[in-house]
Amino acid sequence: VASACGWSVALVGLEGRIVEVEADIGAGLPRTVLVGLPDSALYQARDRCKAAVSNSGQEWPISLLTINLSPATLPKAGSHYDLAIVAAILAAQGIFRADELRRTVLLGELGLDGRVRPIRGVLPATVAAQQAGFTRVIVPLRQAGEAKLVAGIDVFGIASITQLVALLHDSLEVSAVHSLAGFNLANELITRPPYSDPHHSASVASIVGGGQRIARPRAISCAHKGVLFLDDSTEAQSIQWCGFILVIADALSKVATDNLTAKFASAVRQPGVARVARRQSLGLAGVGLGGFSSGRAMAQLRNIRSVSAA
Amino acid sequence: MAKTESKQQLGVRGEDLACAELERQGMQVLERNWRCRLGEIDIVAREAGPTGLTLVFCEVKCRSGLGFGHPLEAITFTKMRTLRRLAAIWMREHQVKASTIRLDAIGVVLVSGQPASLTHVRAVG
Repeated sequence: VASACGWSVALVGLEGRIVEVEADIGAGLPRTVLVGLPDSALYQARDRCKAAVSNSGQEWPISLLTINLSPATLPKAGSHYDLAIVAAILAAQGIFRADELRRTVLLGELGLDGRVRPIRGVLPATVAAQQAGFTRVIVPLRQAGEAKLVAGIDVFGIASITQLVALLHDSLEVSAVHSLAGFNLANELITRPPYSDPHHSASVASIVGGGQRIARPRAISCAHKGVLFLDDSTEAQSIQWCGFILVIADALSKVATDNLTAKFASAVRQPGVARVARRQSLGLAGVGLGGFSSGRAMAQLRNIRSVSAA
Repeated sequence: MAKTESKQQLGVRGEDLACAELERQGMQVLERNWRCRLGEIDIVAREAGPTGLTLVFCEVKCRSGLGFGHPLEAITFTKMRTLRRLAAIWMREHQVKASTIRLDAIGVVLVSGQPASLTHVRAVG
């Protein structure tokens, strides 16, 4: 039994009013109830959202799901609440943290396949969100430019539910790793999958990470949820090591472990402490690996079949 | 015909598992597959609670996969309304005294080669 809430905007003429979208997963037979004065287009959001969520690799709760649009006295029309509804449901299920939705307004209609479709009134809705003190607005990808006309609010354009999950779940995690690694995030979350390509002469420590009291993630962790590319990997002892370590760390899902060999353990000075998440695609290139020629890493990146897609 | 039989066998297996689950929760199964002209009650059980005896009328739905949705989704409002009527008839015929009655639903997913997945929802109607 869980609940979460997302935010959207009701347009009354040009004036936008903030609408809170609550989702509650309670005990009962599987049923979805939508309350809070919706019109018929909005009431159909139920069926649209269900299909969109199921077709995006996520699960629709198999229990009594209540969605409430508040303030209940304000008549709500249109299909642009879909995104906020789905976000609230996914947060209630724990797909991402509910406080990711704080200070964020979501606008967008969903296709049955999980695509985010353009809506009318993105500009006035974004103005309303900004004026109400929201710091972030998530809109259909094609309309991000329109929303960006409003100063003082971060705009994220998304094309699908999958991207919404990636944005709300992965970006925080990726940004946290980069913050720990000492990158300056400059007031914004990292939303593009990171790419890391350490040189083949790099030491084990600079690839795997280490740190004395504070864990210092390095190349492997900095490519979390992204691509780690090891060019000329057959050239260097340390990179071969890392390839080996990656396979093990994959299973253990942590950087350091006491069970690894002494060489690796000495590189990570506090075994068992530096558990920095990493899930990424690993690209390997080098003479003898076949299929790749060295020095053309970027051009060949698109051809990489991930050797270790976590 | 063979297909129908296996479907019935699946239902029986699901009800066996459901009974085991209710008993595991401390309930006592009184009757299974009780029929009258209005329909059938899958399981009747009794549960002793702090406020007295509760009669539990349980609808079980079993499926061999999720291709047609979760079994609980097939337990409709109409089915529960029928179960409520059946419960009244059952109590009249059996003269069992209980302080409360409750309608439960159990969805069982039985995919061959996988452990059974059982979802029990209390007090649905």
